[in-house]
Amino acid sequence: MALPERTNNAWEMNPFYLKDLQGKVHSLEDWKGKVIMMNFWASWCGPCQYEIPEFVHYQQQYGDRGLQLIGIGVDEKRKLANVARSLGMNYPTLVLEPSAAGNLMRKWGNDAGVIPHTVVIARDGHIKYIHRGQMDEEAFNTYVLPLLK
Amino acid sequence: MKVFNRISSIALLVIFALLTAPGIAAGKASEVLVTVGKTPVTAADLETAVRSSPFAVQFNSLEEQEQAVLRGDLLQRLVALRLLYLEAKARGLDATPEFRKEMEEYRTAQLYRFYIQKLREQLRLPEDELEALKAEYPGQPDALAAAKAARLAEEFRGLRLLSLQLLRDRQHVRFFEDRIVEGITPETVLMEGDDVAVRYQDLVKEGDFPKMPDPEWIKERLYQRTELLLFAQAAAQENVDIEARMESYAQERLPALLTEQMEQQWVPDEKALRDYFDATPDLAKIPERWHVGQLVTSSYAQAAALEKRIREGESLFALAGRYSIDQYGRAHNGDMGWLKEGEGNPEFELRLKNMADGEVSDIIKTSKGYHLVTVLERRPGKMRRFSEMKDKVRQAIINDQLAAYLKVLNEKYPVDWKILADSSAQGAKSE
Repeated sequence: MALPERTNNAWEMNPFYLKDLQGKVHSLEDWKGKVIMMNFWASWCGPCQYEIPEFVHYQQQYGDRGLQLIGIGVDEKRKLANVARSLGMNYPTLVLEPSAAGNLMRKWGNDAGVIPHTVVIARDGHIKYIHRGQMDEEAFNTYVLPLLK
Repeated sequence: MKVFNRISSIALLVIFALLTAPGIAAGKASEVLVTVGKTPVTAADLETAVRSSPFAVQFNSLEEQEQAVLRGDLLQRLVALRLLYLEAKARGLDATPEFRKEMEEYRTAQLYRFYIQKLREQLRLPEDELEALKAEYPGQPDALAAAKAARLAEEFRGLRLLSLQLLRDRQHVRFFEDRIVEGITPETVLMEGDDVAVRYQDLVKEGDFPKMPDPEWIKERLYQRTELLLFAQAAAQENVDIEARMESYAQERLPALLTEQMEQQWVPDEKALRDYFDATPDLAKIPERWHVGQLVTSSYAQAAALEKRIREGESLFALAGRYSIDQYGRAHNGDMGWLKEGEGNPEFELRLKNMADGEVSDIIKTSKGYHLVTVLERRPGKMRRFSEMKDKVRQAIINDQLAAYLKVLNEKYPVDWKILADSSAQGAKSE
């Protein structure tokens, strides 16, 4: 997959900084060394709400093997926080202003701005897989599980 | 529907209070929230109602209090549906031949669905074929998924036909297509097996067509019906348990049937609509609306000074953006949007009604301060004609009548709000 920053390694890309729901600023490097699943979602998105409970399950089951889900919520913070509470999300959500979303999503291989959109990053930073739309168990088993070994 | 909110406003308030309490929403699925007659409504029933409602996605993004209000409203609807269900059964609506036939059709459809699902689950692409597809579409998950789906669909078609042929042979099924001719009767048998048959009346409902429909269309239905019956029969022989689904269907259908029956009583003819329309003139009224500009000050002196500046040519909107004490108005440069007659201060509305568009009022004193207002644009009110709003009148009658009817049913069948009792107990403990 070709990304606009001409690299296939997350740690070689220009970092971005976003606040989580508690207001703490993060960059992706906070989770360097883990297998990262970065999921762009929004409160109005039905498919997102179908896959998030699965992600919660993955985080619970594979967290100790180095899996780190990170939600990038393209929405108002209040709504994101409500969904996080309602669905019992056990991983961080970073707040991305919808007006600024297009640019960041493009950098991560999402030209069309489709939500949900998930990027899988290996421990060494390599972007192993980009999934457009709702991610199913088969995709997780095929592209994420092998990275956790 | 508003109507369900009228069962008991006190109950609603208490339910609301209870549901806003942390932990209630996340209560145990089996927890009984309320019993209607002898049937319980559990936390799981309520969650199912939430998840299948049109606002299911939006629900998760709401505040806890808003979620509690919606849960309370849905719980009242569930109670109302149970009341209607009990009454429908008491009236024997579940014992009519029509309803029994409907239930039988539903059972057949559910069994058929089970069988089809079972066939699907048997399908697996051989490992080597799967590997070949993966090699053909490396790193293209969408293309791989489409290729797999196409292969599985092909396999499924074959498996389905094979299963059907097997069941037809086992039942010694024979078709009598030559009987599809003019003069066919409802009882004419068009397919027969050891323990299965299809008659003309199973395919073409009497009275639906003035004369016999296209024979090819009938044949198509005949083969579809045969497949439905054979697969359903095969599923039934496996003792598939679909009783919970049947009960759930009856719980949805019987209240609807009773409501349909009652609606016939409540709105028997056009005269009933006309009488209600004449007796409820407000129903036809479309209120006047004004697009309002406004400046508010805290003192008469400041309002007078600003009025003078406006009369001398300054813009009310520019001044409102700088001086209005009304936060919304200041943020929007005095543009207050559209106001509907009956929604505002009556004295205020009287002025708006009598002002010309663009005219700036003299100072109006209200509890919020001293106002200078203007009307940018107005849409005059009018009365709708009966012919334009028959559907609305009908719905208004049904809403009124159903609310009253639910009150009656509420007295006939005991409704025991368990969550109220639990709450009292918790309250007692916390004191």
